[in-house]
Amino acid sequence: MTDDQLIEQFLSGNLHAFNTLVWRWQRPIYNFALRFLGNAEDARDVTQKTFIKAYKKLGSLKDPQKFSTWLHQIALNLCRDENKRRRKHVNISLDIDQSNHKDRLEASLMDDFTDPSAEKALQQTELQQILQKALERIPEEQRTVVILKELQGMKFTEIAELLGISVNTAKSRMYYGLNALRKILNQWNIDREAIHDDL
Amino acid sequence: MTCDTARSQFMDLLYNEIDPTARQALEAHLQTCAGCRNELAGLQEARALLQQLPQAKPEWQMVFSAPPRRSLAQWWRDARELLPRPRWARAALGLAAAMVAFIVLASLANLRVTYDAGRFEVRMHLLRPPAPELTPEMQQALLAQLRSETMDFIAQLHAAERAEQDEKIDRMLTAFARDIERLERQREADLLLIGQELEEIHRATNIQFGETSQMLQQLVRHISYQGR
Repeated sequence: MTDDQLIEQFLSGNLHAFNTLVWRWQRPIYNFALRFLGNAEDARDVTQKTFIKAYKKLGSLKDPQKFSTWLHQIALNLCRDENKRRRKHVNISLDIDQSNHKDRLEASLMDDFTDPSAEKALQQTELQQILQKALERIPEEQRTVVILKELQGMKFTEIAELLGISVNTAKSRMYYGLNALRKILNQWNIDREAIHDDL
Repeated sequence: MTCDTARSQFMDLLYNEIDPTARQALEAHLQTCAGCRNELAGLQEARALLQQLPQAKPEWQMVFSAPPRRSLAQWWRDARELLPRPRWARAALGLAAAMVAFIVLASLANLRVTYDAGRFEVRMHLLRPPAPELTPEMQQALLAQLRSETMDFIAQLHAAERAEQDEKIDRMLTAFARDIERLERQREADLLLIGQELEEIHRATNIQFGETSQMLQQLVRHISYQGR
């Protein structure tokens, strides 16, 4: 059954139809929030809030065929709110912590790659953490496009519609986002071969 | 194809959203341009790295359910939770509620309590009591009172209207007097101006006469001199 059919059923009073939508979209929305925020608990909160908002506002969705875009828009706004809340509550000391963390991470990576025995100890989970950290360091607007394109598998036209930008802007943000990621990972001496060697 | 054009198509190529003609042109450029080739390779590498991020599976499942229907007993239990804890406070609240209820009911039922010469009377009726029958004397008196009130009312109305008219006339007369005064001032000013003008004409004429007389005297002198 398609999303728009489920929406129609839900609006006619079938709550089970909405639960099917949740079951279908919970994982993509959670992954989007997780990659955007880099924290599982916050991602869980955002996912829950997204579906609660969708439950309340589904009647106002004009084009049910654009449910996925609409749902991602809700999640994106909530992620942005969460980021704003974090920026408000986290003081400068955390920035210092983050820069220290970067130094520690870079130092540890340098050690890992200079020490052959430690190099083998670099596990997949650590690499994923590094990739996540790299992702969090690129500007928010580029990160959004990178996540939507690379991890959510959206087309550039869908991303443009979701963000209210032109297709060319979406492509341009993706280009700069990938370039920025490449530069960050190069600084940390992370490349494809390193990952493949470890895996 | 320039390098900038090529770069603008990198994303289309990378995500296979490029049309065949543009792909051919881009690939031809890449064969000749090492810079673009390297940059594209770097972007592909970043993409390959990103693909190492797994799709996380949430360890929970959201389920929406309809809120359960609340029974009367549940409502009552919730309402009791709102009451104050101490007994005296509950008693006071109950007494206040009973008084409010009594006042409301009494108002609705037109409760009337009278005490007259040791006679205590309580009357209550939901509709207004019917008006008592009027005797001919009472009717006459009522009619006379009504007539007198009407006459008073008409007299008051008449007096008010007259006062308003008088005030209007006063206002008109005041305005009229003001206009006359203004016209008088204007006339005086005009007369003054005319007098000044006449004086000026008179002075100019005198001067002219003087000049003419002077010229005539000179002429007479000149003629008599020539005659001599």
